[in-house]
Amino acid sequence: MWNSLSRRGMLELAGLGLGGVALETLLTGERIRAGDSVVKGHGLRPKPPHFRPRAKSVILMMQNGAPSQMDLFDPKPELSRRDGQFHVEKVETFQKGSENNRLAGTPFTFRKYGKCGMDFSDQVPHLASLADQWCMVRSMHTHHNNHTEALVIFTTGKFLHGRPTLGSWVSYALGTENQNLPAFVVLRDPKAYNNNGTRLWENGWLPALYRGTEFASAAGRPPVLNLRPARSLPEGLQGDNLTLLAELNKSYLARHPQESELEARIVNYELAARMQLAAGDVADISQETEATRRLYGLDNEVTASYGMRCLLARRLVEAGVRFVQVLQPGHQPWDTHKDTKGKLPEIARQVDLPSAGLVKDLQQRGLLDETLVIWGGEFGRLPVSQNGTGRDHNRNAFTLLFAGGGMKQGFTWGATDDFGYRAVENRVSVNDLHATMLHQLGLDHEQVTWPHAGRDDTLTDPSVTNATVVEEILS
Amino acid sequence: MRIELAVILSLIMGACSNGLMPIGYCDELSGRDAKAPTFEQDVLAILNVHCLRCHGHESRQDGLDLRSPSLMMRGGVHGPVLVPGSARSSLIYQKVSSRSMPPKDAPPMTQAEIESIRHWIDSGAREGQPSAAYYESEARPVTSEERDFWSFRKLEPPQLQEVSRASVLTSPIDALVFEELEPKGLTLSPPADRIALLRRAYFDLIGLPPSPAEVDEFLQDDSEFAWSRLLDRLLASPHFGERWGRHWLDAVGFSEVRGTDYNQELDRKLDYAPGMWLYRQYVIDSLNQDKPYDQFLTEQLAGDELIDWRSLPKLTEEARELLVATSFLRTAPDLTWDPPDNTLITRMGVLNQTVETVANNVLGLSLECARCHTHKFDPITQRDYYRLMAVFTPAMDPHGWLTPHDRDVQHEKLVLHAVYDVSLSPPTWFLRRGDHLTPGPTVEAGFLSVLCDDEAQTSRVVSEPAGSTSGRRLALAKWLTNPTGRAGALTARVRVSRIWQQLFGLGLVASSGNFGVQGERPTHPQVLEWLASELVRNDWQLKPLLKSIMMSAVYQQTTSSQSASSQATSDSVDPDNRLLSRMRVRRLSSEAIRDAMLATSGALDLAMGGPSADTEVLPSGQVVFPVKKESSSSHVRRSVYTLARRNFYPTLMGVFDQPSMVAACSCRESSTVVLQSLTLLNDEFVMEQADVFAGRVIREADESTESRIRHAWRFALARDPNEEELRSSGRLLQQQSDRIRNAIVQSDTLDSSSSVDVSEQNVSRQALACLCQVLFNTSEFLYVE
Repeated sequence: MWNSLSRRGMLELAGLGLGGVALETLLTGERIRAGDSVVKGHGLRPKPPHFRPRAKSVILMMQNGAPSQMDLFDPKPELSRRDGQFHVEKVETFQKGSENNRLAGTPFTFRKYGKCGMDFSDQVPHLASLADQWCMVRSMHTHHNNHTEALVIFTTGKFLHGRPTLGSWVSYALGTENQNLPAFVVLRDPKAYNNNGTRLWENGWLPALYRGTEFASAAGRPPVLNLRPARSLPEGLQGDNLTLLAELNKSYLARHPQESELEARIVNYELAARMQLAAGDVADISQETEATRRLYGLDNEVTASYGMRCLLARRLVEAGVRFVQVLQPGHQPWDTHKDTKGKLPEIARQVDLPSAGLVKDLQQRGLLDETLVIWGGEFGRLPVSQNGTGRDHNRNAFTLLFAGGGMKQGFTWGATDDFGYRAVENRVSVNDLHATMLHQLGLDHEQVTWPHAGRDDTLTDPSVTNATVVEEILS
Repeated sequence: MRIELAVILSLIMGACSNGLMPIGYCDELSGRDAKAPTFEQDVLAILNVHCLRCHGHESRQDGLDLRSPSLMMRGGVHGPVLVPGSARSSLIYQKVSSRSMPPKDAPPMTQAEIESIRHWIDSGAREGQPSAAYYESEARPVTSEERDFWSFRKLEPPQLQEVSRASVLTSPIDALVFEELEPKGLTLSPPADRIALLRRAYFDLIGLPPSPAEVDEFLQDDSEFAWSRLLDRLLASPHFGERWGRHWLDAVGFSEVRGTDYNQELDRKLDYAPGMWLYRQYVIDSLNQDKPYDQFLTEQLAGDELIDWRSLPKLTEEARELLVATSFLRTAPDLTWDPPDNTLITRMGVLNQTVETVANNVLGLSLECARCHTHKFDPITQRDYYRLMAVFTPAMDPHGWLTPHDRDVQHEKLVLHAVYDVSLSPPTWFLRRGDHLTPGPTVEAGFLSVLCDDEAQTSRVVSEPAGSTSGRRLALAKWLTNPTGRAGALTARVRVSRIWQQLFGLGLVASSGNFGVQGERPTHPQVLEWLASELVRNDWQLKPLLKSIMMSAVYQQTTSSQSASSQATSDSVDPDNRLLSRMRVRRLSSEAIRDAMLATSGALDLAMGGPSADTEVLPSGQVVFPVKKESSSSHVRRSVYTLARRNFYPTLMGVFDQPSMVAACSCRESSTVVLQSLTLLNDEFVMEQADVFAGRVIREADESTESRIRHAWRFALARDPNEEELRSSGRLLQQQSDRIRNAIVQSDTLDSSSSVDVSEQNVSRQALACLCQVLFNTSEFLYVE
């Protein structure tokens, strides 16, 4: 489907046989230092967790823009009853247009789904059909009311830029099982960056080894840009080129034996050769059945693009990738400041079916038990109307969905006030979420450390954030 | 017109002289009824909900601002609205109690809220004193110990005559570096070979490789002045500004997109800044002219205050240039052109990032923490932060905001993205916890206390600007570039450390964006101090400084370890070679890699200046230069002229660590990731340039295989191949010719209608292109020794 390099040709490439020593260096990162101290034993080789894990990998389905909890997951009859009235509590706003502080009920219809009776609105019927799989947390809250900061909090724990992201921490803590693919893969809409762009998968002050690798995901195209030669080449041609290249690069390295970077570059050409094969396999969906394609909505142009990312996420996890971050369609489509009634269904239609399809597919392949799926955005939305038709940002309450990875099933945790403005019962902070995620991977969040600015820093920094594992939602 | 700052200050102070001093700066707590309601505790929240949108935050209808008691007493067009002690005489109470305010279509005040306002006014309309501890920390004085931190001190040029071995080392830099090495049992390495040196100088100064003719010329010049002459020639090259200008553009966060640029589709009408390329040109030209750094900075911070441009009947060239220079203050993403985003919080964001860019780029300090609280590590108080912000509010007043399009100055057919004062003395509030909903007292403009000798210096924001403007930014520029002051010393240190960073891969202060307490200490403090003093002594000119660094033995060292024993020593005492007992191997920057491929293939268009070369995002997400049908060569121009998007830069450059310009970047990463290998193996541009390169080799070499290999080597790596390299290259050409010939024959038999070129010429050109592409992939091509 792409071009000329045959599987056999690729295997020849992969067997270039450059020193295992070099590979070892890349994988164990011996020479990589943080500040003045050498961090022992880091690298991408698989590493044992601290205790028995409930999940081996994570799929984070980010919904940038803040999905509206009271229009999707958190029904508020009192809010609908008081539709149009002034709210007694002056809510915290971000943009203009909510000064009137008038309550706005949802324009959508809620009902209970599954044996557990979990609430969903009619906008996400496919997510709803999995009610008995989900663990729904309605009492999430965060520290900042703007997307930029809140997304950085969601991915790094604090609002300042420059800290490592979730996938980086996890790749560092556990390494990865497939040495032919990156440990941390990001699947974004090629048409847009999310808010913050590439910062949402940066390695911060962890070594660059742990940075997320962006895979392209347009249907029918290679998953990594430049995975295949742009021009058709005769078989074996690139292999011979690489042989000469390795020879030249090794002699250059011999002149600078102290430069581990030059060694890593040689190893990268080996990895590139192997990746052309492995990543191609991962993205080759020709063997997927019609039923599977439909499950992800590949047969429908509304869902096909996001569906392709969801399908790739499954294939990556299946291939042993540790952390997959799937991004929503467009820039921040859930940011419905106006026209909830028109805009929310638009994005829900693109996301609902493929998201549910991914969970179903993981389940039917027996992968859900070892994969933690997290679905949600950076904060929630307000109960009061913005400009009569939309909702402004709300850091005080939002809903997240979890599936697999040893979370309770068909279980709802936490509650917001009568209007959905504030999480009031069993509040869960973003930092608690992080601690819980690491816990399910068999990691003690206080023990995954990296020396930074004079101390052993962590993802959760519990002395500041009070991050705690939410035991009640674990099965 | 000279602005009388004293008058403005007295106005501010006058408003506060009714026993209602802004909180924090006077002590009149004694004898106060602790239970009396206060503005902050009892009233501000009510006003926030009901009043401040129209009378404070977003606008000030009827000239009325209700954000503080003193402003209420200043009042609006209907006069003062507050009479402390008498609610009945206070217009604000009359309006709310009669329910004529807030207006009918807004949520009404509750009776309890109206009662709270009455009670507050009747009991004296007190402003709350924040706790003493709060102000002690957020507005505390800076101590002399804190001012004594190494980077906050005045310049202290080292005493060179005390350096014992100065005589055997060629420059003061060598002597001072040696001072750091000697105690560790290390020494300087011998000079690199001449070709390595030549490539190093070319890439470092102009960002391009030497041509084979330039290599020959240098190798044949055996005079002792050859190196010095080479440096002079490169420093005088117009391409110098393109290389060094790019470093500056990184540090200011240069972009031609007004907003945050998260969507592939760029709104060419509203979101694209059509005149930003003029600023790039200004930067390149300034570096080529070696404009003194103090002048360069002053023009960018306050070019509009150096000339009374508003009184000119028509903008002169000089005025235009000075306005363009202030685009420096327009680099922060500004979304306020989009009406829903034109909110106070977004405006504050633009202002905050502008202040941060200036502080970080010029002083190597991050002020972000001090927005919300006094810096935990650096002696930078929250009060200092807002005083510094007040330097910028006359031009960028969140309460009297100009959208980016309104701020632009149209000049003939050009759009100048300038910054200029729009009001002389707008109030600037100290924001509690950085939150615009909880404004504290107003503050006067000031500098950072820790970089001043005393409070008098901190608040002396005085200059003699041209035209009707506050002169605050001009005063800031003078303060930042006064070589005898603390700020000027830090400005010079940051500048020379970053110059060093470009030449050695690591700054003298490795934490390029942090010269504060949490930052790293200089690896060679004496070198830093000497160079900073030299910069000032050379009238802030860069080129003499660059030359003196590059003339040093330290810069000319080889990158290789000399012996196993010296390697062992340096590995144990200085494993990261921070002390420079040899030169560091450095990977080329994203621009230099692309430019070097173009220069090597011969396709490079060296045309300077003008609007950017356009880029295009393909459906795959790949960003490329579209190849135009007409004879335009904009896709093969130097990379510095690429359309400067914040996120969607060409993929080829992105994988080689082109920084995102959502914020300024003081130090690029130099990563080694697998996507780089895939790109150099498979990217269309790389393959195309390898082919063009092959064509060039065929044209310029004679027909022998050896001649072609030698030419390819000399173009790409500036040297001849050795015997072994000749042999293995020859073998590759043979193998690839066979493969290509076979492939052509096969496809020809399969599809006889295709017009495949089966000539040997074509076969050998394609095979040669393989070798050319291998050379593009070598570490030797991608790194300078």
